[in-house]
Amino acid sequence: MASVAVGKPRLHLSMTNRLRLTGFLFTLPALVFFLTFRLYPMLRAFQISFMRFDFLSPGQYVGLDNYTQLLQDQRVQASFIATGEYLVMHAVPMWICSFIVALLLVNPLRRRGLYLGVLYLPNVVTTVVAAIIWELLYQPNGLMDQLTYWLNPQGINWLEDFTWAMPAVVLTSFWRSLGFYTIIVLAGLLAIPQEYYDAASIDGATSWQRFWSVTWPLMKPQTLLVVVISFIASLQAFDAFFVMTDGGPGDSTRVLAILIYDEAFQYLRMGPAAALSIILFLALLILTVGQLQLFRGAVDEVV
Amino acid sequence: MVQDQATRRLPAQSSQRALTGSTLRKLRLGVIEVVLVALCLAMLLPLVLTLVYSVTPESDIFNWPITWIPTHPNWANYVEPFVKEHFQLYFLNSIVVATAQTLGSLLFASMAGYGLAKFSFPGRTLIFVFMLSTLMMPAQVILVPLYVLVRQLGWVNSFQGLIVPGLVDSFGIFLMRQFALSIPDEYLQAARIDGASELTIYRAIVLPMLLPAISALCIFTFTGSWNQFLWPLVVVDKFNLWTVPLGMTQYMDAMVAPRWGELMATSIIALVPILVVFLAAEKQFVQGAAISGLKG
Repeated sequence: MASVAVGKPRLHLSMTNRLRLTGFLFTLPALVFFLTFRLYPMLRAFQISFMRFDFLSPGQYVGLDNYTQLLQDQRVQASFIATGEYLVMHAVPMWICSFIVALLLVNPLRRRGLYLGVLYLPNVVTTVVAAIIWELLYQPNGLMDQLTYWLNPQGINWLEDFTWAMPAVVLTSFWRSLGFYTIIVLAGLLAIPQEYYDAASIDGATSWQRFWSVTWPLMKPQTLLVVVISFIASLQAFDAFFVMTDGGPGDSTRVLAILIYDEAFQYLRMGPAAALSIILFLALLILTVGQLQLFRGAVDEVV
Repeated sequence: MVQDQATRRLPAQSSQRALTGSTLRKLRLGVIEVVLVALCLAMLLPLVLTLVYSVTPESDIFNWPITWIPTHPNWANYVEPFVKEHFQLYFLNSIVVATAQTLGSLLFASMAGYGLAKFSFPGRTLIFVFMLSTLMMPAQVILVPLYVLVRQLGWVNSFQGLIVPGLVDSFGIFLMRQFALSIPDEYLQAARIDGASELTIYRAIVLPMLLPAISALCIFTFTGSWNQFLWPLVVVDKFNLWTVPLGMTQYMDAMVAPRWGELMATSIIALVPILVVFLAAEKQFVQGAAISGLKG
């Protein structure tokens, strides 16, 4: 072909190799990005976690010091508790509620699209904006005080109360993300062929039995997804805490994400911050592997 | 995709109890509708209140009971943030960042998704699993080293610093790959036999066929980028590069006592671009969320 006429030696590749190269080249820009801005920082996090590093002086290796100091630090213990509380208060009710709402929506409703749209609407609200809006609702004499007047006429200073600050933030993020999880579950429910339910009904299954023998087993991939996503989202919850409580009162809402930010960017202690993020990473890894074990078989269907 | 299934499912559930069954079913549906309407109203309440407060004079914000219709709407709340603060600038910055990240994400994710779905080359599975695994990694895990890297690159307080680290996300690649899998190989082969270059095939065949996924990803990336807070907070401290969420928190912090009316008005303004996108493309939003939960 033209290669002969031009005279320059051209790379001669077989069709298969040419296609291999093409595919690789299409993937390459994204791959370079992921190696530079995801994998490299990940490895760097391990390295920095063994260092004293504050930008002012060259970094210095300190061995396991960062880790041993963190494990004795009371604020770290408090942040584990706060993160755990958030996980339990946010993620677990979310699985149940998104399932219930999706089970309601799966019925043949005329205005399903409208309901779905309204439920999803808070999810498009910027997290910071949502936090500011809810902060106002929690102010003394605000909406929350007015709604709970018949329970507690004195009112509560929600965001500065050791008991109520955490639930107050949880409710904010719950409001924002219920619609998102509901849609994931609903999509799974709608994908179950009607014939399965018909067959179960013919066999005389009650609606309760239909749920446990048809819906639940077939919903495993979606359930896994909701569990995994809500776990990850809970562990990195930052915006609402930063705006509404900034870790307070005391350390009662200083979740891991806030603590990492404080360490790194308030006190410029990059080493301990990196060590904390490694701990967060390991915790998440263990949790995720555990979840995958629990939902064995469903994984292949997700990926 | 989901919508189709939704309409297909409409025929009622099986009826074992013929006559009473239908009344019972209607009753059940009625109860469900009532529950859903109540839930929807509860979800809307904070947004409706935001709208109300945005024109409420500061002295009436904590009225008991709530003043639902302010007698003297205070429209100045909508003007002050632009006069006293530089919100016009924050909007511009947010638009620049969100647009750049959306375009970048679309380009790189569609290329990578196509490459991973339609070609086989050594390491393909490894690359895909590696990219996908970052989906499960919280932002905080690499926050510190990413900041160190961006600082070394000299990108602190710059648009590059705001934009580049969030240029591609693994969800986009996952989405594009799942969609690209369904492109028939015959189309690509036929084009190759006709002598089309690989770039032409990508541009003229693959991209048009990825369009539904592209519009979903477009909306997802844009809103995600618009919402971003932690990274801009870390990487930018000069007000001329603040994005809207950053500007809002700083504006709030700078107030001696929060002026809630102004904050709510700013919130409404910050919501407008996203709401417009949402109302115009609600279906894509819902589909995007649904797709992430379905195997492709």
